[in-house]
Parts: sequence; C-alpha cells; structure tokens
Amino acid sequence: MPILWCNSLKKQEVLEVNELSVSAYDRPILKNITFTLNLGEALLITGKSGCGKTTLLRALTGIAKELYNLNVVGKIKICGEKIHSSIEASKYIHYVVQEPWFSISAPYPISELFMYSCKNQQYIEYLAKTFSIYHKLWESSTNLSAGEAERIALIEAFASDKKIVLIDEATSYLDKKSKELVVDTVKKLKEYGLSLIIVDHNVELWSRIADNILYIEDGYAEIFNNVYETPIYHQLLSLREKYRVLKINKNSEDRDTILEVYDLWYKYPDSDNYIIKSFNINAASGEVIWIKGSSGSGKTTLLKLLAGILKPSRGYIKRPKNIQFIPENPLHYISNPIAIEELRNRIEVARLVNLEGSLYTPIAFLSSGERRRLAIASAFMRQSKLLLIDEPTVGLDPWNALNILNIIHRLVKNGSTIIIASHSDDIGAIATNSYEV
Amino acid sequence: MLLSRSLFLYGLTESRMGSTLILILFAIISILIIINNPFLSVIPITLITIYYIRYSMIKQLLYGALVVAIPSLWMSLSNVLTLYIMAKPIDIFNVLAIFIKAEVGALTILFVMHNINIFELSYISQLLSKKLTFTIILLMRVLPHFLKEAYEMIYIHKLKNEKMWKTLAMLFIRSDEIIAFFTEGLYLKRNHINPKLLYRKHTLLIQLILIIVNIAGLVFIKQFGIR
Repeated sequence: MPILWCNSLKKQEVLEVNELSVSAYDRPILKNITFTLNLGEALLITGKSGCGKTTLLRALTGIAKELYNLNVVGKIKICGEKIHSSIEASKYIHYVVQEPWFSISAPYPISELFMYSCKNQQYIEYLAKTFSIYHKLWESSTNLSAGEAERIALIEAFASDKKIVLIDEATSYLDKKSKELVVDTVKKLKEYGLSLIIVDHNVELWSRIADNILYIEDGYAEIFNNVYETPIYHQLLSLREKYRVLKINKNSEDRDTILEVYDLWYKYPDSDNYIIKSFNINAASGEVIWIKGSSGSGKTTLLKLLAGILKPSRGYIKRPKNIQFIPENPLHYISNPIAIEELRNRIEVARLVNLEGSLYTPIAFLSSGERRRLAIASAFMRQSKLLLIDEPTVGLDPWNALNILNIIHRLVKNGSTIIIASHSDDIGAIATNSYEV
Repeated sequence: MLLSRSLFLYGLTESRMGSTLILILFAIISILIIINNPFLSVIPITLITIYYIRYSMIKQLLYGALVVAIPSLWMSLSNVLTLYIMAKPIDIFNVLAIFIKAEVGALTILFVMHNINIFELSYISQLLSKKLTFTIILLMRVLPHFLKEAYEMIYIHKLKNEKMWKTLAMLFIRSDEIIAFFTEGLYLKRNHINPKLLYRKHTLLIQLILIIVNIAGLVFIKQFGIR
C-alpha cells in the first residue's frame, strides 16, 4: 500500500538548482536560475511560450546537453548528489513529456508499469485501481487517450520509486474532465511523498497543488507563492476579454445549404456498439459549426464521416465536392517540405495567417501553432466550400489558440463554411451553431 | 488498415499470456506438416482456429487470412503463368498446394506474432542485451502508432488530390519526428528496464494441448508415409 506522506518530514530538500544557465551556441535561453524543491512539494513553472520552461526540464534531466547539444552551466543536486549526466538524473527523476504517449515504450500499459518497476502484478493492479485507470491496463498503448497516457506515465513514476516527477504541459491535450483526473492523480502522488515540477500556462488549474510558482520571463526566473500573484495569471485574464470580440453574427436564413446530414449512424467494423447515433446536421455557407464532446465521444469519427473517409453504417449525407479535412496533427495535412510550396507561392495567403516570416522554414522546424496556421491556409487556398478541422487549438498555448481562432474568424468572413470538432470551450467564441456528440 | 487490423487488433488478451517458445515450436511442427503434405495442413489450421475462437480473436484470423491471401494467390498464379509460358501442363493440385503452403505457412507465423508473450520475450532478450529488449518492445509500440498515423495521412492527402510520392515524403518527415519524440520521452528510462516473467496457467495448458495434437499429426504423417 502506498504510504501517505507525513507532514513532519516535509522539509527534506530533494532538488537544489544553483545559478543554472542554458544557452544554444551564443544565444542565452535561461539565465542564473536558482531554486530548491523539498520532498512532497510541487513547483509550478510558468511563463509565455518560448520562455524556456521545457528547456529547464531538459537541463535538469541532462537531455538539454546530451540530446540537444545545449550549453548548460550551473549546479544541480538531487538528494545531495551532484548531477552531471542523464544517467545520474534518471535514478531520481521521472520525466513525462508534453505528448505523454511518447513517454510509454511498451505496447500495453500493464507491461510498461511491470517492466519499469520492481513491484509485482498485484501491486501494479492495485495502483491502477487507486488511480482509476485499471480498465485500460490490458489494452493497447496506441489506443490510450492523452489523459490516460498521462496517468499511466504518472503512475509509473510512483511504481518505479522515483523521487521527482517532471511534467511538461500535462493538460494541453486534454478535455475538462481529463484535466481534472490528471490534477487528481498529481495531487495523490504529492500526498504519497513525490516531489513534482509541473510546467503549464494554466496556473489556475494547479492553484490547489502548487506550493511555489517559478515564473520565467526573458530567461530570468522569479518565485511566487500564489498563482494569483503571477504576471501570467493577469495576462490570461486580459486574454479572455479578446475572445469576446470574435463573435460571428448568426444570420444564415438567406444562405445556401452546404452540408446536410440526416439520421447518421456509425460503428467501427470491429465494434459492437454504435459510436455515432442518429446524428443530424445542416450547415449553411459562412457558418462555424462546433461539434463538442469529451475525448473519445466520437467527434473525430464524425468529421471523418462528413469528409467521406469513413462510410456511414446508415443515414444520409449530402456534401459538396471539394471538402478539406485538417486533422488534430496538422502535419498529416501538409504535403510539401516548406510553407511557400504548400501555399503554391501565394504570399497573400501566407499574410492572411501571419506566416510571411516562416515561408522558407522547413516544415520539421515549424512550431505547432505555425503548422496549424499553414494547414488551415493551405486548405482555405484550395477553395474548399467546406473545411473540417479537428481540435484546432489542442496542444497550443492560449495566445496561439487565440491566433488560430482569429484566422478562422477571417476565413469565415470570406465565405467558407467551417465545422470544428473540439473539446475546448474556446471554440464557443466563434461558433454560430453547436452540436453535442 | 487491413494490415494494421491483422496485426494489432486486440490488447494484451489472455491468449498472449502463454509461452512464445511453445508457439514457435508449434509453428515449426506446423510448417513440417505443411511441407510433408499441404492438404494435411487442415490439422494446424484447425488448431489455430480453435485457439482464436477460444480467446474471441477470430477477427484477427480473418483479417490475417485476407492479408496473406494476396501474396499466396500471387505465388500460385505466377506458377501457373510460368508453366503456361514454358508450354508445360498445368497441374491444378500443384497450384492449390502452393497456395495452401503459402497461406497456412504465413498464417502460422502470424499466429505466433499475434500471441507473443511480451513478458517472456523481453525476459529472454534481456539475457542477451537490455538494449535488444528495449528495441523489441519499442518496435511493438511504435509500429501500430506509425501505421495509425500513416493511414490517416494517406486518406487526408487523397482528399487533397496529392501525389503518392508527396505523401511518402511527408511520412518520412513524420517518422523522423516520431523517433525524436520517443527518444526524448524515453531517454531517462533507457537504462531502467527490468523485464519479469508473467504467464497465465490456463493459456499455457491450452498451448501444450495444441502442440501435443500437432506433434501427433506429424508422427501420423511420418508413420503412415502420407504424401
């Protein structure tokens, strides 16, 4: 049984970071970062995108030096031992990356937990039950949702007796319910005595867990004791105001119908249950339709049915000929190695989505936000009457997410019909109509 | 999609908690039977079907049979074509025998692959090298992940009317990225893999029965010289 952490022991220092600086060639990323972390404490690292949050995690694990050839200077001590390499760090640290399914190496969650710990099967099953993920233990790791993969990776930290867990943007891919489940899991790990370093923009979400907040700006760090005192909290508050001005007028009476769906049913060939049941939808030109629902509810399946990638089990779909579908990972849509080729040399389209500066950057080096903007611009350029977008803001920080919504807003004004499947409430800012799956 | 379903349809079912070594032995005996008399491959194929039915995995057998039917048909038809070009008489039994040998042989190998006990395989491989263990489990993890992404990309590019070579080029870029992501995600864990054996007695018992029946079949062929 996991032993609940005793408050009286709480002052034991597990991590000491002193004057840590990281630079790429001559460009400084982090400057003189100093902080400590006690046993059973949680430190929230926050700041705007590109400020160096993930780089700090990589520096602590040795990955910055060994995988990214960054120059790391300063002292890192874990449980009194000086850390010089990833091998030394790996004795104490468990690292969960932003896309948590890349932290799982085994084909089944049970084998992952069993092979990276010294615990027996009964204990692993007990842990999985405690963290409400037992039902997924024997499934394929490929079929885990982001939230489930995150929780498996977190349980692994506990099962493998690590002292510190580093969690990078744990909630950026998750819906509301999954976010709460992950926060609960992290809370339990903290109660069991693990020390945690969490990187996230969403400071409010972690307010009940974080003991200290490390805010990074221009490479320098500042410590706060309360999330509501951090500059990012106030920046996020003012950002919310900007979502309000995006609202599109709902006036579709005299517009052409672009898509008609009547009594749509669908089940996967290997499943006994219908994932889409009697779904109806009507989309007119210039509309933004929001398909909402939690992860795994069938939103992406519905978009694939509308796009014609999947064939309905029964029902009727009347769709225009030229449909474009942008999946959750925009790289699956892009088919050229550089942006200018993808946009067929149309610089005015690049300007529309603020990509003038990245036209000749290889796709592999574009950020998630840039890729998404490029995919949307490319689809728009193909003069598609109907644009289907799956989770356009997932994995993006709030500023990039707003940027995407602004672009969609602009495209709709140009006459496109857009159907968005998303669990994010942000889509509500631009939607003219919504349907629950 | 069919390829992906034929390989990775189910999770860690009870059928995968037996012994991979027993299954490999079963496959060797089955192949010996097929070589001796392709028409007696009814013995291993019946045993394999019973196993799939017992563990409610019959769809995997069907998808597997469909996938391997393509090369099997090609092999038997190319034999017909060769005989035709050489102006030699075509023996329909020979053509059928080639098809059965290829189909049942491939299904037997798929049967072993479908029912690999990951715990046993990683335990044995770590005796040689832990890097090998890491490579094996990672391969089993990455392959379905990549196939899933590739399938999606192919369909989306079809909607864009893109040429196939462009899709392949992008798949190459994406695979490079997947490797980089897995490298970072698993970097700290690379030296901490600690494989342990895990079996289900019931599965082991069923596998033993299968192999005994299969051996009996082989002995029967050898004893009575059925050809």
